[in-house]
Amino acid sequence: MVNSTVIPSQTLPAWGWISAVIGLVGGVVVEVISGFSLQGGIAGLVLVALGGMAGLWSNRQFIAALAAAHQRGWDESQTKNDNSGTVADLERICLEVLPILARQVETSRSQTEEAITSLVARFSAIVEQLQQVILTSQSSVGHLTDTLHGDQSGGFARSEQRLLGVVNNLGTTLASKGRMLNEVRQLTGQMEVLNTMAVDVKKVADHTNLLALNAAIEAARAGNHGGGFGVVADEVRRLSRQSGETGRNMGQQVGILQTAVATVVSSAEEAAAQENRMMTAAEETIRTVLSEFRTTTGRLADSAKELRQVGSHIGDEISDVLVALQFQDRTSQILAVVGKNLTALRDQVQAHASAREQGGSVSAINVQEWLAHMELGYSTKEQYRDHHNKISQPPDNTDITFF
Amino acid sequence: MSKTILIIDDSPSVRQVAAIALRGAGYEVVDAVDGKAALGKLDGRRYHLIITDVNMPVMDGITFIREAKKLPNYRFTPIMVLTTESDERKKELGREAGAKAWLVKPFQPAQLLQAVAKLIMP
Repeated sequence: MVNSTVIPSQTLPAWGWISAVIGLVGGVVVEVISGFSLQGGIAGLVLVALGGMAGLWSNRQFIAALAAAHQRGWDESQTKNDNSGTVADLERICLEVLPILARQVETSRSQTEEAITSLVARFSAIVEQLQQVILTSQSSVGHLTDTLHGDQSGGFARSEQRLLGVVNNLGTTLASKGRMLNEVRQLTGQMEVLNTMAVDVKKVADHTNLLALNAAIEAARAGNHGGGFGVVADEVRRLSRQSGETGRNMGQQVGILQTAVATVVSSAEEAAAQENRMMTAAEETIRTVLSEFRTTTGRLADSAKELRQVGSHIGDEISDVLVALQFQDRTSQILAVVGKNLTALRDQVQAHASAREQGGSVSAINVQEWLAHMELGYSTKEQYRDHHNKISQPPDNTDITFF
Repeated sequence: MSKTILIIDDSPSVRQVAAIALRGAGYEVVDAVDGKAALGKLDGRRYHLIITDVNMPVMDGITFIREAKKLPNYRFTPIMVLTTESDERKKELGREAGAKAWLVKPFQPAQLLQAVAKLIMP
């Protein structure tokens, strides 16, 4: 703004003229008193000059004072005009900016709340799933532990017992077959006896035949008296030949039987040996499989136990995260109060602007009262600390009071 | 039979965190978003404990405690305040209203469970 100060015209005020007139009158009086002498005239002129000079000095002083007063008045007027403009600008800024700030604070608060709530919900779901996994794992580990280390009624021990029972049954069957084979071997001995008996029969038949031959010779020598005896002797010889033939046949049949039994015994022994080997292999296989199964289930149990421990650890970590996320509740409350105070400040500025524009009396704002009112809305220690510009600190540890 | 706890807080995250801790300890949890909603759930069901926040919309925690204590079925139900407020004057208001304990957030689950176990009748 251009300074357009107007300085008043340099006119001598009345008391300046009075000074000059008093000087002139004083000079005349001195002339009269001195009888218009030279000294009196000089003194009178001096007085007139002094009076004039006094008048001029007074005039300048007056003008300077007037100019200063005028300048001061103009400055005050200008300051008043400037302040009025500044206040109006400030009010406009506040009325525009404060609602924006309040909306931004509320947006930040609501977005944070929404995000943290979503985060907490997801973490909650993870915690619940983990707890479920841990419970299932605990159950599985318990079952496996029972299976591996439980009593004889336990699943693993029972399975092992059953499988080995099958092997034992096979062994019993083989033993039974072995006994049967021994019986067959003993039958071979009996065959030898039969064969000897058949040989003996043949020997007896041969001997009888020889005796019958001798009897026939003696009967022939006896003539007619020996005819009947000769018939008997011939009959005995026929019977002895038949007996010898039967003994020979018996020997052949026993030999065939011996060969057949020997073949059966040989085959049975070979089969028994093979079955024994198979049973031993089956028992070994069963024990190996059970051992591998025990190792596998043991590893599975260890793995499940480790999974449970890791799951439990992760669960604890997530629980800690959830606890930490409680900051959202505090910040939400702090931001809500900030938003409320910004709105209240905007309302205050609006009231002030309305009163000023309408030319009414603008009541003074009690700043201390304002600050005290703000403090009433606080709920956290951080708000009090920030309000009083103290060093910001994290929230205190959990505080509990029992009534 | 598990014990039931009613938790009242306008912050979903706080409700969930508290519910996780309480359910993990074997409690059943019913929740409400403010005091008025919580009064609607005092319909004859038995609650072994009520946990309430203080600063909530619609109806604050202190008003809720006063209203709950007027109901014959819930006159003797223990109530614990769970809040960010740590001002002694507010605590006194809670005590006068009928609260049995005052726990300041953020809370540790172990401490919450300890307080709950202490307040719930065996």
